Amino acid sequence: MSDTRTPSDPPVLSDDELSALDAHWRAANYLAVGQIYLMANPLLTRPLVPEDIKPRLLGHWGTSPGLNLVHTHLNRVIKDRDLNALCVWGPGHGGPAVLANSWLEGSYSETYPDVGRDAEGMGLLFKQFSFPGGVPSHVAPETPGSIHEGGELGYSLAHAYGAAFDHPDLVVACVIGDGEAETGPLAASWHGNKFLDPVHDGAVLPILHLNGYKIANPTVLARIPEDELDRLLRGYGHDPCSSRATTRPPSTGHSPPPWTPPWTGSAPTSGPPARTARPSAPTGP
Amino acid sequence: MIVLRTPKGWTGPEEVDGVPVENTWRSHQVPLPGVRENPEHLRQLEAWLRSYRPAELFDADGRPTERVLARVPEGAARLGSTPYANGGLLLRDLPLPDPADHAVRVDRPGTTLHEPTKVLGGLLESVMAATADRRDFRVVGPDETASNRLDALYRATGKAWQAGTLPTDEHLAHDGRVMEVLSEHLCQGWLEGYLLTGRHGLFSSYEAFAHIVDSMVNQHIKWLRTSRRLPWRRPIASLNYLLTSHVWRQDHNGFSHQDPGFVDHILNKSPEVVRVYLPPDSNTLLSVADHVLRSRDYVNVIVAGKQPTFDWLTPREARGHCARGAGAWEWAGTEDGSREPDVVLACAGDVPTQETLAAADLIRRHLPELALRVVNVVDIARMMPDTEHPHGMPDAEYDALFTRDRPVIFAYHGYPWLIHRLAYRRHGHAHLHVRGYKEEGTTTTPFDMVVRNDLDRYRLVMDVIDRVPGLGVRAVAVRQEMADARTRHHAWIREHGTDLPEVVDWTWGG
Repeated sequence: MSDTRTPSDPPVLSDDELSALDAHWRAANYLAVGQIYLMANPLLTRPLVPEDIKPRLLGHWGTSPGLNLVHTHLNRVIKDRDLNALCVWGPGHGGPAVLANSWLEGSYSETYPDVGRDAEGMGLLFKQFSFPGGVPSHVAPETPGSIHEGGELGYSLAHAYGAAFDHPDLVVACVIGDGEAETGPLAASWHGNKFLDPVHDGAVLPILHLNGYKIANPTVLARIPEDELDRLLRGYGHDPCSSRATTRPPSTGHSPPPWTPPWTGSAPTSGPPARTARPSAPTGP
Repeated sequence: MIVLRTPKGWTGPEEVDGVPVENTWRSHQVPLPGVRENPEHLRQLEAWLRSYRPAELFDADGRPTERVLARVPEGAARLGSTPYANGGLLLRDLPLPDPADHAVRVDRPGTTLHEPTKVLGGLLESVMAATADRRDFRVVGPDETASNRLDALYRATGKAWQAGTLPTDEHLAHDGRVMEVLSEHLCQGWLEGYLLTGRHGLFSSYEAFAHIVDSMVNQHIKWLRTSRRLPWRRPIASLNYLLTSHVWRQDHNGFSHQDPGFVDHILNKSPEVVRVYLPPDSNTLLSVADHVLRSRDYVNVIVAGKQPTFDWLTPREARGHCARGAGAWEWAGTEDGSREPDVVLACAGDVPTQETLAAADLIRRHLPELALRVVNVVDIARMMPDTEHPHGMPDAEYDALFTRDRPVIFAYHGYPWLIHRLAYRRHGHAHLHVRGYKEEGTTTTPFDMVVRNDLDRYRLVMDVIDRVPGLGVRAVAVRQEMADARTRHHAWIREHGTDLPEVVDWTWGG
């Protein structure tokens, strides 16, 4: 992992906390895979047999672990700072990830009491995903906490700014997929910071998630030189902090999520959130 | 902002069938495709699932352990429970003025002119002012709020702007609630985000360029349609479009700016969500605006011009007409109630209404023996059967209004085929003849636009003569006079650059 903090910045997360975050991330990943594949035996209380597997496998795994990582850390920041927060999941085809997190935190069972937060409920959560009579494979209206369908490709960040306008107490995180970042609407959306009023509007936290690929191709922003991407985003008036997960977790298990949101570095743990989407000061000629 | 680089399909299978999957595009969907049939895939899946060590994460009853939930927030702070993602929970009714406060006075129909969107601007100014403290109403548009005659808004707020300013700028303000950016995509995305989190708004656009957001509005309609069936999703404010600077009056832009097809696109979508209104004058526009700003969970499209338009209805008449959605204008027809009309002149949209009333005027003078009915349609879904759209008209009502077997000459604002599509099952469909925009456009005079598309008053009269049984022979002289008027028009505009005086100076009953 690398980020742009200076080496003198102290580590912000203890090993114990990283281990708790890792447990959450692993649980969310487990639930995401379970939704895509399983219609029985949700807790693997016995070896898998073919009959445990859905006859039609429909869903998107690729983006899900990244979304789960973001959700895990957003949880931590929301809890630590007592934030009002909303997240727009641009790569909302990763429905399993957002559903997994909603179930873990209990929101799902409160919204849909028949899907309890227990083994039976987990079984239903798995089976209903992309299943006739169940729930869609994308983040969708059915998904608690969502305002953005996964098929709404290219305007997650516009939705995020729209949600932040006139909500001064709200932080809107927005995960932007590197596929959707190639669209015209998303390219224009970076300019939202020229319209966000520090007094009357909330904060927008864009999280550009580069996992490098679309369905069959690499993504532009993952393949241009990193400094070029940095200059592009700075040119839009944003202040990017870069994080990279480079190592595969050991095969004996998964290491703690090797990513810490850079804005936790030296920022106070109380007080207003870092308004990372704040535009530069107006500069008239 | 954060730039986060993680492998695609991270923690999933590294290789499947000998090819790399994790951290490649192959992990996009389902990394192990043949699990039921392929024992090796099944083994890999089990190893993958067990690599997360589920026994550490869930107790014997399947509940997440305390450790898993240690850093998860509680209550409404949870991302899956925030009320901001169920905006109807936060929604308040807009403080709307009485439309009559902004209405124009109409002593006689078709004699005075107002710019409908300018009249609407007064109502919007009032809403903007009344929400100054609540800050839950915004108007978005690419660059045309003033051009679309809504500039009264600037008496109540400015245009949101945090970038540099110059002394020559107007109405820019850090806290403005009019949002102009030359990207329909951003306008649409911002407004959707604003509405979905519990507020109100209006999108004003050139009619032709609303198409830029076709696929975005599709998704929003699907969202609303699905949300309406989820009891826990509370209704949100409707997404309201004002399509102005429309096809018939692109006097200085011409062909590229002429496209009335957004309405066709919208009417393909879920009938429970979509509503399309074509108010023919200022007071009907006010009435429609009042309605849509109160409504929930709809996508409302209003098509209304910004050019001076005849006032047809008093505020009270406008309210009744808009509530009906379609109705006969008795004062414009010549029926005496003793028999069915010989012909129905129907219209939808401001310019077609003017041409229809001008045609009715010609018929009253030249063919006074005809029993003529004039019908105006504001709510275009009224043309559909009531089994297909909640605003659809039952057949009995449709038959009473349009007749079962008399010719109906329908002057429509947009593509004429739309009306046929909506009415194809009606008893009288074989007698329905629709005029509208047929992609005949250029930079020319306003009246030439309708002539080029056979929507002009003279053509409509000729249509009546051609379609009322037996009239063709009797009215041959009148038909020639109409054809001559079109010929005269052709020559006149090429010589003078303006429309014929008899067209420019026309008023109802004048």
